[in-house]
Amino acid sequence: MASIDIRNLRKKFGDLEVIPGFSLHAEDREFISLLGPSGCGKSTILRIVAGLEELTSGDVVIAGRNVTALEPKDRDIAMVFQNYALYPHKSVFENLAYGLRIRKRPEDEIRKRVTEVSELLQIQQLLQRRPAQLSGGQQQRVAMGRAIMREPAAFLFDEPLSNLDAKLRNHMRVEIRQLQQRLGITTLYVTHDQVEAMTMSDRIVVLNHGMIEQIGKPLEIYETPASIFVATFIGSPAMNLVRVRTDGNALVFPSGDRLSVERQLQGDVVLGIRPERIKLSASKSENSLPFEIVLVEELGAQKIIHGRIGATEMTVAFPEDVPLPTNGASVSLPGNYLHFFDPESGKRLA
Amino acid sequence: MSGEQVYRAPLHRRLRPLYFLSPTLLILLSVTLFPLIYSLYLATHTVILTNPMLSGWSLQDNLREVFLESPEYWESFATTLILVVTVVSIEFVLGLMLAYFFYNNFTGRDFIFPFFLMPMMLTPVVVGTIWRFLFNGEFGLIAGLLKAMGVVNYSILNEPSTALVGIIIADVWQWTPFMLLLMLAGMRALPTSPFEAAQVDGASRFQIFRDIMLPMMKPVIVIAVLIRMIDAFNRTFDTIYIMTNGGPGRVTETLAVMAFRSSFEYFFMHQGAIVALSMLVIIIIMTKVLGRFMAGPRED
Repeated sequence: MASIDIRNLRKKFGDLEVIPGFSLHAEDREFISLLGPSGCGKSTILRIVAGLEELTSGDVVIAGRNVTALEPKDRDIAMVFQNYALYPHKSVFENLAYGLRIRKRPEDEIRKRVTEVSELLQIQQLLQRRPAQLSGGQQQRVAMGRAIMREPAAFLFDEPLSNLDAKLRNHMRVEIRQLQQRLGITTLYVTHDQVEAMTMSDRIVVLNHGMIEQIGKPLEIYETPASIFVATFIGSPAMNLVRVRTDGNALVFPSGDRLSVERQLQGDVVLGIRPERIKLSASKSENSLPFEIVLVEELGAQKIIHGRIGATEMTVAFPEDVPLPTNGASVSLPGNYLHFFDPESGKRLA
Repeated sequence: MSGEQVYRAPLHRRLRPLYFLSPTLLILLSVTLFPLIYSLYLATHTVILTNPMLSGWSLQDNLREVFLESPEYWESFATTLILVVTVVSIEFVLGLMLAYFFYNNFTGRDFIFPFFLMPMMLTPVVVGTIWRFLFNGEFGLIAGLLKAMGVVNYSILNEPSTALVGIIIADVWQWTPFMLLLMLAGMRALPTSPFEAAQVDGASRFQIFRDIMLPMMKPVIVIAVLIRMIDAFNRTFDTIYIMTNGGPGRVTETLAVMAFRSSFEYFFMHQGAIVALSMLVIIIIMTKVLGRFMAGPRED
């Protein structure tokens, strides 16, 4: 039973408040991603949980124990760093063993544990090598091995995959998630990659300027983003956003095109719709809008179509195996996939 | 080897770099190559300035004179060895400790740091003079303190058993900052994440220093120690010359001082040349070792 509780965490660097107040409860065995652009404070939060950074105020509670004032070594956590942070002069074996050696565990116990961990991560054949003799993916595995050696209460990952090439990253994503599930260790995972967050997490915390924009399950965040920021940060290609005027039950596009919706809205709103939810067809039907195709990107599994409704740019994701309408395309925007945001606050309109 | 035509520039084009380099080459050759050749001449002949009538080839006699007939060379060799090993060890340990001290952040660090470098900025002659005055038995600061404790007219530079200690103190005072600077630069260049990883792994500050930082600094340490050894071996002349001029007796007469005194106090130029050339050989060997550590990618 190792939950992580972060309560009213605040952090200032001098006069600059980078985290104005952050609270999070991670259940035992939960995998939570902290997702946000660079500079949003996600790594700072992680380093505070690890004890590598001092907090200005607030509490960090791991497994029911308030560790706020404790040294990293007394927090029963393990951390995987972005650049792996392996000990360059030690062999893989010694890298794994160091934490136990510090704790003066008997040699045969260390050997046994290194063997277990290296088999789990399939790095048995690398034990005598030095970090510089390993590939990026192998170094990544060793760094994870070092983290699980001591069977910590919690894992902290700081952008562990961002130094790997795309193919390896996809592979390690799956591996980390499987490992975490198998070991059942509560995990905080910092990333700026929305795909990582979406695919690995039980829940995602979307951060912007040190503030929580939204916490939720990956699909919740995808289906009902709480703000324009979340809507554009999650999903690729990004959600289309158009500022429209409302007129009773109709939305009036800047081009003058009208779209009737089932909701009653007031004043200007920002209309959002994901590219993959837009229906593109050759025939003009009721409640569809004329769409001028500007550029087509072929991705193999789908086409990304850039086009315009009047002067409003719009991106549509279109299945690969359906032929594109040649002239006179039109788009329809299904009502149940429309998102509305307040143009001033950027918050989702309920 | 398919008999392809290889382009060769015409001769005058290939000689052109030499043309531009010639002024520099001339100067370099006249101030380095000529003295070297001349010292080879001195070493192989009998050249005594007070007795110009003696001359002629005498390499074997010269070598016997310096290396076999009197213990002076080997005494100086031992003195030099003791001095180099002692000062470099002390400077290394102090420099490393100070570097670690300045590696950590504390208020006023950037203000006090330059003061720690000041001894290094002084010319060795000035350093020698300062320490000679400090150690002076009659009016020196240290003698004054001793006087207060009842010891009168005592100077460690006047005692054969302690004179070298005085030289060591002056050298350590002057050159520890150099070690500090190299060690600090080395420390600052290290990535910090392995230290953080070790912190999470459970290591104490001392354990991190000993198990992670120190091994990571090995290349810097080797180079710093070697540079300092070569330097101490070869250049600890001015300070000694000013402080003791090799005395009392010959207890602080290092090879450098011996070469100087042989040549310019006793005017046995051939002896001085042989001592100097023997130092050159030792320095070449040390430089080779240094070069091996500095050159090329390391295996780990």
